Amino acid sequence: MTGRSVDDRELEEVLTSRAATTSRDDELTLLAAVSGRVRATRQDRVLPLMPRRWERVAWVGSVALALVIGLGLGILGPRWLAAVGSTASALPSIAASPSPALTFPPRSPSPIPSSWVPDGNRVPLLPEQLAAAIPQREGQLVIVHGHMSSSRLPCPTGPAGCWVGTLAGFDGPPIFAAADADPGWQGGASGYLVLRIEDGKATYVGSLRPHDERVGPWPTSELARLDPTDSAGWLYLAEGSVSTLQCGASDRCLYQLTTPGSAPKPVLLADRPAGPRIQPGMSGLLIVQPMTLSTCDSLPPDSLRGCAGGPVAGWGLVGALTGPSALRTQPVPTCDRVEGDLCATVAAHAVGETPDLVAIDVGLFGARCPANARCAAPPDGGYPYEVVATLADGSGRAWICTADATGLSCQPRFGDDQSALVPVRIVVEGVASRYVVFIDANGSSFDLVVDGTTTVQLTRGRWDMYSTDVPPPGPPNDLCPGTLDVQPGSQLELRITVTNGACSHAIGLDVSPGS
Amino acid sequence: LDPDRIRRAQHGDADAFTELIEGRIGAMTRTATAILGHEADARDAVQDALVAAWRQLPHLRDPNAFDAWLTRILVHRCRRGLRHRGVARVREIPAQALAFDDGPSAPDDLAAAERRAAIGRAFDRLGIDQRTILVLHHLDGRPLADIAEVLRIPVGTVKSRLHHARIALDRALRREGGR
Repeated sequence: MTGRSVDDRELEEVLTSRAATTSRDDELTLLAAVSGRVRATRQDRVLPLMPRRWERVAWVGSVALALVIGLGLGILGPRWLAAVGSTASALPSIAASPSPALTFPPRSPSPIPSSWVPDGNRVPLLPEQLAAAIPQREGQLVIVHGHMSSSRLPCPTGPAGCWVGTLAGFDGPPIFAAADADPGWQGGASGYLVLRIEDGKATYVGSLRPHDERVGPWPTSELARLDPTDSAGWLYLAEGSVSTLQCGASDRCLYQLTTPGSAPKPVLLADRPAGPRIQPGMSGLLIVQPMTLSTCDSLPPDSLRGCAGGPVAGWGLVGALTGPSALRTQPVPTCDRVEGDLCATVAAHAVGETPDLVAIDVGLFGARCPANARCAAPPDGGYPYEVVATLADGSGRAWICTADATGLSCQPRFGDDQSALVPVRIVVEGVASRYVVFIDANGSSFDLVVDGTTTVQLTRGRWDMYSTDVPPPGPPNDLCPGTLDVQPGSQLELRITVTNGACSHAIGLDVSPGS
Repeated sequence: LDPDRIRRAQHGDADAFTELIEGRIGAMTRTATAILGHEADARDAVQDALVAAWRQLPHLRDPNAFDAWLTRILVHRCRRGLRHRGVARVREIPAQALAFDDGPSAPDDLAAAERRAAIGRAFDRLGIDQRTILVLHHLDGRPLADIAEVLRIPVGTVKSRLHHARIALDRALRREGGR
């Protein structure tokens, strides 16, 4: 039934159905929401968050001059230097203030409150460690490396429904989401999940955003470069130390988070309404989330008149971590279109074999399943899955996995651990038109000319036939011998000189290097 | 297209901007829903795209390019949304899909419905770029030149990407079909 190609009419029907026309009421609701946000959002021209080039040049020049003079006279404290040197472009009001270092005495410098500091087990926890950790972690944040599927259920409190998640590998009660939790979780989450332990229960707070595909701390120099609209929803693990920038009152302060280094670049930090209070002097691994800050709120009362500062992009403190951590070196397996249980199993399986793994894609292979995700744990097992893992170098590995009552068993997709999926782009010439194709078979019968000079022959396997202008000629076949030797991760641009018309439309190649 | 209204919006007239987008918001939602396959995510993407458009509007040099520019922002927001939620997702089954007819359906109707459902699932397997180009061409009915302007790629590249996307869809459909 699904063997033939999708024709234009079918595709248009499916897309039209998928896009189901929105009602006029929905449109008006959306329009009102946008209109409200637009009126509260300044255009770039009105309040440039990033000054124009000449302003930047002038500002850098003036800052450089101030630094030279200040250093020479020894009258500028390091806090002010850091503030001026790094945040002025985002803080016009502060930059323009003649006395930007007006601060209240900082709160008593103290280490991170003990209620936020996980002790004992290393972080992240495994899901099966969570139950034992909950009694010891009351009031703390924990990070669990796991996978949750979610569904919408009546909330224990609140007017409507809320989302509740089931953490694969955790036998405890379902995990509800915090009121300000990452909305992206509503469909489920995988990776490094941040949970808050309160009243003996875990609440989902958000997911850590990987840095370069790994959960390592973000240096503030990187955080400062982020577009806050890009950052929404995620939690960030940041490394640095906190100091007071300025205070309007003892409870209305702006802080800066600085990562030590050759070019320190602070980011602005503020208390979140529902979050823990920031303590100047705290340092280590902090969990922060993007937040809009008003610089006027932190100005002394006598400086408030005419204040036009903000809103500016900054960060709010969610919590802090200290102690032993394995967060710096772990890859971040993620699963696409697969429920938690299978994802967790596959991730554990794949991570064990491929430490450079950065992503997993799981799809059904050789079995039809009406509700794809529901096939994750069939009662009688036996459904094979195709598991493609992406490694840090961009190459891939593939397994065929079968889930049953005893767990998941996987075999390398191509018969040995060195198998790799290598995307190959080839251009076919020699017939009536130009073809752009992907190889996804082990062979073909025609010569391949690599970069116009190297001739290669493909071997073994099946191939499909398509072209841009000619209808697919039929099902795959296995007629084409030859050998193609490539390395995992290779990106090849191939030009095919057609010598056999029957093979002129080949697409797709699963490459086994050295075979 | 109303260049005068666009220019007023560029100078900070929020009413002009609201008037500009009022007639486009439905189509944008349809496009985003088709790409993302999730209505709530699509509404978020549209909302974010329009706010981003408002912020960036002063930088738009050619008012005649407004539609392509706005669509480009929307596609970017969809890509961002999909990347953000690119972790595990449950598949939502619309309630109407579970409804039963009063009488038995003809086998041909069932087979056609089943195939459409399989195509939908196959579409979900595609990457964001492939989904986008198929939606722009086959749902929005945009000519190749328009798509090229939206995506800022040559027309020839649009053709080849469309071709790749169709191939990928067929392959995904075969997976869904258990072949």
